[in-house]
Amino acid sequence: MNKEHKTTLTEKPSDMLLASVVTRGKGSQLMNLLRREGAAYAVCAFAEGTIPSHVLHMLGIAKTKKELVFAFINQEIEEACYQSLAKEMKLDQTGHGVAFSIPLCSYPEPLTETELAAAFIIVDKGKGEDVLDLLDELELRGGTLLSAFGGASMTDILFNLPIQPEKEVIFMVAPKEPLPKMLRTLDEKMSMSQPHQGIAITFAITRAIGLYSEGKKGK
Amino acid sequence: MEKRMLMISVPLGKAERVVQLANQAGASGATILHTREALAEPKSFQLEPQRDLVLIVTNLEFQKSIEESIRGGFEQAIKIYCVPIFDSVGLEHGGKTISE
Repeated sequence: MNKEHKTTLTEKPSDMLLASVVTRGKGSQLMNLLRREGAAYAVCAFAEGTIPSHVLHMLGIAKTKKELVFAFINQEIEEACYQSLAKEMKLDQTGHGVAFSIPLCSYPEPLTETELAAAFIIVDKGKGEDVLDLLDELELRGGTLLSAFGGASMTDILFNLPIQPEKEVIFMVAPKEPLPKMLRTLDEKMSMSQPHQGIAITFAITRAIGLYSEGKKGK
Repeated sequence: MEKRMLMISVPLGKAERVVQLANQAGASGATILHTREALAEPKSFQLEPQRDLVLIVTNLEFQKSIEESIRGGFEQAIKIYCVPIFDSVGLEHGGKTISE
């Protein structure tokens, strides 16, 4: 195994995770845009939005098809990325998508206090709707739902077949204030402190654009 | 206790190996997202390779050993990014870390 040529991006670390949620079909355009601006790496996953339009709500369609893009950037190009997202993807206008910055461990500066935070809730498949209902009761809306697979039980074998449990991930941006209450509620109602009941984690956010709630657009 | 989330991007199908290596180094689980990656030089017609994005939430003390274990188990370069966790619930059996 030749490890002399092994290079990793952690040797030249990106210090910001730029997460974006856009309409299905625009993920590639957004990834290419961010790569053009200098993003070190970008990946895209299919997702579902949970805020339907009034028309879709009347038709009983609760979810909309979305794509979630994770791009890893250096903070030096953050401003240029946001300008491009506003100009070319129109993320500064409501309804075109959202983007927000999560500092990585290599972020060189002390984190500035913002009103927002991101939450990542991972539960078994089928429990995502229950989580969204709980969040709705706490007036936290606008989560993005992703399908995922668990890794903890991957080595389990049943009748010679490997078992890979399906999971659902809810990814959302919310004001920081109600998040401790959200975690407590998830713990009480879904017993998350018990093994194999799911996890919920929150991250600091330094900047966001295009959020659903009024007054949160832009920096 | 300080916690981190590792985001590890590997070619499609390699996630199981990542999870095995991480578990050997002290991780207690992982979540895998199927994604596709953007090429460095976009063209008018392009194929986007599929990737597995493995998310591993771990304590700070295991972070380095997990990263080293994963890098040591692959011949090619592995992209590993680390995100600091602000607050959490459900990461330890019976352990709560909800801040008041």
